[in-house]
Amino acid sequence: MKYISGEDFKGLLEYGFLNLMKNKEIVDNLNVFPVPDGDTGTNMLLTYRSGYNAIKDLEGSIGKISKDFSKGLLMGARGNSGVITSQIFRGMSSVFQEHELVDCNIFVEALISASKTAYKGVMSPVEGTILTVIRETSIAMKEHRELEDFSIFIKHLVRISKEVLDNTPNLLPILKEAGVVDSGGYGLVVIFEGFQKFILHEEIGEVEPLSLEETVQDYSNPSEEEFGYCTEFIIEIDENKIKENTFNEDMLKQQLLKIGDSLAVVYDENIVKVHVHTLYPGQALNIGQKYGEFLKLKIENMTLQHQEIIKPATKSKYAILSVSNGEGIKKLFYDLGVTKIISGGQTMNSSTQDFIEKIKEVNAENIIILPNNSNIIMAAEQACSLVEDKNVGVVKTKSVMQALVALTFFDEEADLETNLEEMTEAYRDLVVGEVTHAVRNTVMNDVEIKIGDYISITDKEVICADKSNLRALELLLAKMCNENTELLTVVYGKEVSEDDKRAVEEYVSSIYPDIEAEFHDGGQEVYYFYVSCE
Amino acid sequence: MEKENNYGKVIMNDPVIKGLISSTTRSCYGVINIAIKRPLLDRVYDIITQNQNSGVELFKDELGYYHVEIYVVLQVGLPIANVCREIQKRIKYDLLKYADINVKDVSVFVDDIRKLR
Repeated sequence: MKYISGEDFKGLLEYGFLNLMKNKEIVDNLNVFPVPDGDTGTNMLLTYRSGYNAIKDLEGSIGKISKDFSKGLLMGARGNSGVITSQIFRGMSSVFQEHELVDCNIFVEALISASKTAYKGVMSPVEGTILTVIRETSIAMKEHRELEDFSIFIKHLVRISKEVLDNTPNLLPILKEAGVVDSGGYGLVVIFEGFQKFILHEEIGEVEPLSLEETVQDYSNPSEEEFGYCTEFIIEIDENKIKENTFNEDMLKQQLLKIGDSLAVVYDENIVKVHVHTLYPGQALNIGQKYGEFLKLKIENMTLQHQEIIKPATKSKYAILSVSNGEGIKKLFYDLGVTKIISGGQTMNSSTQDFIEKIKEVNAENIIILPNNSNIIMAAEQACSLVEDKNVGVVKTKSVMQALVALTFFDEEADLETNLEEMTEAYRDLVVGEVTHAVRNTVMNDVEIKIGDYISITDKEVICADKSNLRALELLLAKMCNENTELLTVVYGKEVSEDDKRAVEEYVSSIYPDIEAEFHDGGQEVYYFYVSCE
Repeated sequence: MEKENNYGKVIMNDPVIKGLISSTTRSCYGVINIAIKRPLLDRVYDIITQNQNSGVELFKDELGYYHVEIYVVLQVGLPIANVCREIQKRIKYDLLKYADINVKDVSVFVDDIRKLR
């Protein structure tokens, strides 16, 4: 194949999309830079989907397809990687625009233009990212511009971009530290791989359909909302309609501001995207319809959502706030008298603000906070010092297990000081441990750990790493239990199977017959077992 | 900016934190420059002292929360709301990571959009 046509390019993009969809989670997991929030793959995929939807039913020259694709990307761009992806394809489309058919030479030009366009967006680019991948690839591909066969060309493209990607950890130390390659760059290589699969007629394999809900960005903080309906719509300007009402962005804004707030209007050629919070969504739609027809509509009742959160309750003497993840643990906490759960966990630290909001929500004289994680004790204490109209105290629990014990010592009749002391005293002799899995290869305390191993931790020290989660638990118990141990509690995580639970119970009753043992379903993520001995 | 831990006190000057914010912002995708929001005389002073943080403001409110304001110039043709969101996200994250400051909010003011090069 010497040339690719519009139809071929559409196929390339489709396979790029499918391959990206297939590898989304891998890309998400690689996300450590700039902010390790694991959303690169999701953002790239949603951006790419928006572009793909724009050309799905389109036929025409490669120029037209690529132009509409890049426009679709820009309209749906999410996150940093999404924006950069949209710029890459925008650069490519500016070269493709005048062509009906594209050969290798023009494709190289397009890659160079993509790299230039992408770099225009940033003043001091960080190397070792998706930007590096597109730039170095475009430079190296110059060697292959004379190729006659497009399938060989694409093979080179994938090979070279992979080589560049593999080098990213050497350019960006943070990637090397984490032992990963750049996530955005990986996403781009995945798209190129999709191209290759199309050209070579390879199968992509099973692809799980996209289950993500299409969410539009938050332009405001909904908790401070007064207006009832979050109204969003996209209109395509109709030539006939604007003969009577000439379209003017400012005028549209003024009209909408009369009936609502939190207004955002985005205008691009002949498409207008509007986001407004209003009590009268009907009126907003009428205003919009004057200029054209709706492409997309979404209306949500925010007053309803808001009121559900702030239902008033009678004032009680005590309220207990506890931080936790996992459904089972939440239920355990509620059973033990916790008033409200603050969502959070090892990977998701609650902020001072989270605490203050929850403190405001509960209606009680005295409030006790259980942070359940050493990282957020500070945040909880800070929240305490900032709240004035309620007595707030923190029991400095460092784990869920400590909190469970502390809660059993809570006395409704006693005053706050006594309760804080008693509850802290309760878990003083408690030994806690966890079993989790390792996320990277490393050596700690002379224990060699491999990815996917189950590791046992007690007292912040790794005791062992093993291929079996039960074996890891057994070794942990051996370390934690001694002749003084009277009570053993095990909380199962989300991923522990029924068979494993039975095995654990049998093991404990046969090896430690003198110890009283309790077992609970915690449903927590990341940790397979929480264990405590007292 | 003062913090106390078991070993003693840590004091960070405002310009240090502003510098951190400024360099984080400069490496964000879509940012061409940090806008200068100052009268002419001050600008001369900025040039002499090589002050690059004039478009960065850091406040502490009566409740003890930190607020960041940043004035930026963005590249033409990018989704502005999206780029700004990334700037906010990165500043919040970097401050927490490098200076252990949890800022309450980051306000981004898009002063201008221009074409780079």
